[in-house]
Amino acid sequence: MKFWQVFDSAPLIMRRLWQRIGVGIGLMGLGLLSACGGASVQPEAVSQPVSVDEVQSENDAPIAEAMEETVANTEASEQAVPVTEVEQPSNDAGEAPAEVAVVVPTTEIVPEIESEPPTARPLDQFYPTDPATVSLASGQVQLVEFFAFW
Amino acid sequence: MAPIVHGLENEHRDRINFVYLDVDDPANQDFIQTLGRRAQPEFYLLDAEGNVIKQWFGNVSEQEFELAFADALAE
Repeated sequence: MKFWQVFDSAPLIMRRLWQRIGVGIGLMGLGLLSACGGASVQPEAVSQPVSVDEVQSENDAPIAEAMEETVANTEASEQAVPVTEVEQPSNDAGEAPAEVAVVVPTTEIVPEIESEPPTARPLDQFYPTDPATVSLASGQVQLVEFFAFW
Repeated sequence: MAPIVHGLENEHRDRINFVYLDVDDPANQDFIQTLGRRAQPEFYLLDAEGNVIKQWFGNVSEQEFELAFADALAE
């Protein structure tokens, strides 16, 4: 007697029962498969958060921009160094005006030479002129005073 | 007279030469004989060649000197 012949010989109610049990087991298996399959699919869905990475990248955009700016600044500074190094020879030419500026104060010292102001003499005293220095034809108008101390 | 003359000297020293000769100094006798001293004090205003333009005896006012200086410098 075969296995399936047992089902055939079983009453109709039993056969319906066995069919339902089989259907239930099948549904449970499908459920398990779907559950496991969903779980197995979820990592794919999680791996899709590659879009999540994108979201993170979007959220991190300011940070990324800041990082880019810092990198750009460092690059710019690194680039500026050679520029200044290249311009150093031209800065040598720029230092020349500084030397000129240093020279200027030395030139300013020259005008500091001042002539001595004429000394004022008391008006109520006689100051005889040295006769050796006197010439009546002096080349300009001349006032001659004869005086005596007595 | 000294204050007046020295004041004029301070004012006109750049255009007029002021000379003060002591009559008691023997080194000035040649100037006395040339100009002819006759009083005390005595002033002579000379041109560039030494010719007498004007002379004063005794006390002279500042205005008189100023007028004579202006005439001498205008020539």
